[in-house]
Amino acid sequence: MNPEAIKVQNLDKHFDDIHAVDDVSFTIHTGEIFSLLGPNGAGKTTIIGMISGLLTPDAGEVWLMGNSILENPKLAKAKLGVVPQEIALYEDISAQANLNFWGKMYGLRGQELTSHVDEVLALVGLEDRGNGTVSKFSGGMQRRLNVGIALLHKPRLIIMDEPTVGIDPQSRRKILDSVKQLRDQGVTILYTTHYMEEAQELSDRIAIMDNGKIIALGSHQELIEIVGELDRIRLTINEKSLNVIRAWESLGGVAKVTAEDETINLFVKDSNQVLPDVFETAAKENVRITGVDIQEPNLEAVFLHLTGRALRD
Amino acid sequence: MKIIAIAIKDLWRAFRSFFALAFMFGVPILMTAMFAFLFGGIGGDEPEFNIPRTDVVIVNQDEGSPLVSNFEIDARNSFSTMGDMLVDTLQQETFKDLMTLTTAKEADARLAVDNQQAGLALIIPAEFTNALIGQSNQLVEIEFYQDPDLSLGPQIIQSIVMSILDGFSSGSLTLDTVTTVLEDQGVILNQVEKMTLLSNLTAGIETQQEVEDTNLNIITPTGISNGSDQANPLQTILRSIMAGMMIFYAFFTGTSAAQTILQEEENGTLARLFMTATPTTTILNGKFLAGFLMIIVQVIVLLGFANLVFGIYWGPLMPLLFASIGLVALATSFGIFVMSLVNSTKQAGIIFGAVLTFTGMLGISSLFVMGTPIEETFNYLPLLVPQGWAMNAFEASWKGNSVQTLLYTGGMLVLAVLFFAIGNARFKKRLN
Repeated sequence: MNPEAIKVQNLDKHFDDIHAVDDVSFTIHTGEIFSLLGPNGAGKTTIIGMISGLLTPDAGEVWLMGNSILENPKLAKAKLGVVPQEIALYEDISAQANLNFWGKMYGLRGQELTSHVDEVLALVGLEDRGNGTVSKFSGGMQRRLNVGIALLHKPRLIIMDEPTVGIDPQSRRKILDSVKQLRDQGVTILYTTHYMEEAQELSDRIAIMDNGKIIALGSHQELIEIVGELDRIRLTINEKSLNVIRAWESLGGVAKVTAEDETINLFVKDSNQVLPDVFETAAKENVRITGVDIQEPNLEAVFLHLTGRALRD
Repeated sequence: MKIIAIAIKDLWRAFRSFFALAFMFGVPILMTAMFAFLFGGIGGDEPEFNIPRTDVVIVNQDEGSPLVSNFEIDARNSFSTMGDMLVDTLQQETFKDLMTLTTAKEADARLAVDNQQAGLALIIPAEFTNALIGQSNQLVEIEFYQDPDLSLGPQIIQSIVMSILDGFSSGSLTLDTVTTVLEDQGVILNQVEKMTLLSNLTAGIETQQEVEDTNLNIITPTGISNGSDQANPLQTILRSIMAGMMIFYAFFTGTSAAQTILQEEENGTLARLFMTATPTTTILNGKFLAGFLMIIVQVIVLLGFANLVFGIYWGPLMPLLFASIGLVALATSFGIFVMSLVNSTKQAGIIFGAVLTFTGMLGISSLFVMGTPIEETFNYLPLLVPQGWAMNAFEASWKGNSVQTLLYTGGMLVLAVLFFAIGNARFKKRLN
């Protein structure tokens, strides 16, 4: 097992009456991509704030590469690069001027600074736009620069807080490729997202969060096993009927049924086998099925299984 | 190093902002230029003093002195009273563009002013000569009875008369000194000898006055090339306006520089700075340095521009330097202080709109009461606000009063330390 890059122990944080983070613990190993997956408001950004030293926990402790963020923040932060969720750039100056400034804040000077700035511009695909004023960049380009700044001092530990929110597919792809490139270089990454596909594609391990707590933690495969590798049949019906739901629950091969208004989720071992019986039952109960969607097991299903709600709710 | 990097970044951003540049340089220069264009030309080979002529009615009641019957300047110019000498001086070619002189009796003169047929009545009292040669025990007043609707013209005439009277008074002082020195050496002058000496001294000063006053026509930089504080009245007014505008907008710059802390807080860059292991103290010091440098540039540019273009003489270098340093430190720290009191850039707008405008106007209020009866009150009332300390320091500076300049500068530095300490503590508490 690789040594611990990040160790989070019993973190707790309140904002007035809101219990934002509730006794969270996890460990991230060196060279690992670890994702925090959860809906908005799950507590991901609060955890990032406490790990990066921006927020002081009510209880608990964080160690970065063995250095306590509370007791030795300067040393701990020196090895850390953080990509904040909000774009944090000086929009009235150029990309290069931004990188030069932030490089200096990371302690870079002279030739080292110049070469790191050039490398980062190339890594995030902005080498031709270095002299462009940031305010004239598209949202995606600004996001890429936002990521690039955290990489300037070549940290061995990077925290990315929802770095792909609200951007075009091309920029998202560029950022995801950059993350993979960093992983190949042995960099440890803590990645937060509410896009299940990103967590699935990038992560070695994933912690699923809800209401300030980690409700599941493991590799993609381990998490899928939680729902027993069931297929999900998502049905839309013309009116909610308790009779039909009970009838579907009693069908052979159906493990679980959840209902949200006119949308019914059936978790089944083999959707092809069960589907004819599902239609037949609906017909008997005079319920009309207006939409059908079949999904193989994924993290969305895991979240739904664990919380009874969809990830994007 | 991080402090310098933060300061340079802020400077770079500020100097790329049209609004920042407009408020730092554009508006103060524009305001002063407006006055310059209004009252005189600032371009052309032969700039003219374009203030409208003031109609002055002179009431010369001076009865002279039994001790001196003749004040002689040269063979052609001799006067029986100093009142006559004053009138003659005002009738010189030098002042013809500034005033039209007529003489009248006191009641007629006052009536002319009341009916707005004249702008100013200059009433020279009967004891005028005696007062100037030290032979009068009573308080003798020369009266300027003016049209309240006019301020600039009568004020200029008043300034000229005061300048001439200063020359006469210095003649009396010189006489006292000479008499004392001679007495120490055993030479006692009789009254007639004393008055003859005074006549010569006063005449000499009067002649010298005429030479110096040739500067009155000059309102271009060449007009102050001798580095003296004998600036013409227009320059005196422009200097006060320019200083007032510079101080007013230096405080805007200081506050604007400190406002970047709030802007960065809202834009997320402040949080990002903290993630780079940059301590709060470093960030605040960087912000202070940025404001400090911005105002230094602003003050240097405005002082230099005013000198080169408007011909404004700012007084001796050292007092000017002290006043400038005080202004820069105080405006910067005041900015940190006021911005520490607000929570968002929206609230900061109120600071700009109300607090800075109010304190700024009060601080430079002496500008608006120049030449009015309440002028003296406004020597001290503006000291209630930091801008007032700066205004007084600059005034003392160009008057060449180093001690007073140092006192005001000391006051400004004490206030600066106080404001910075409070602002710094409040920001630290909030950001940590």
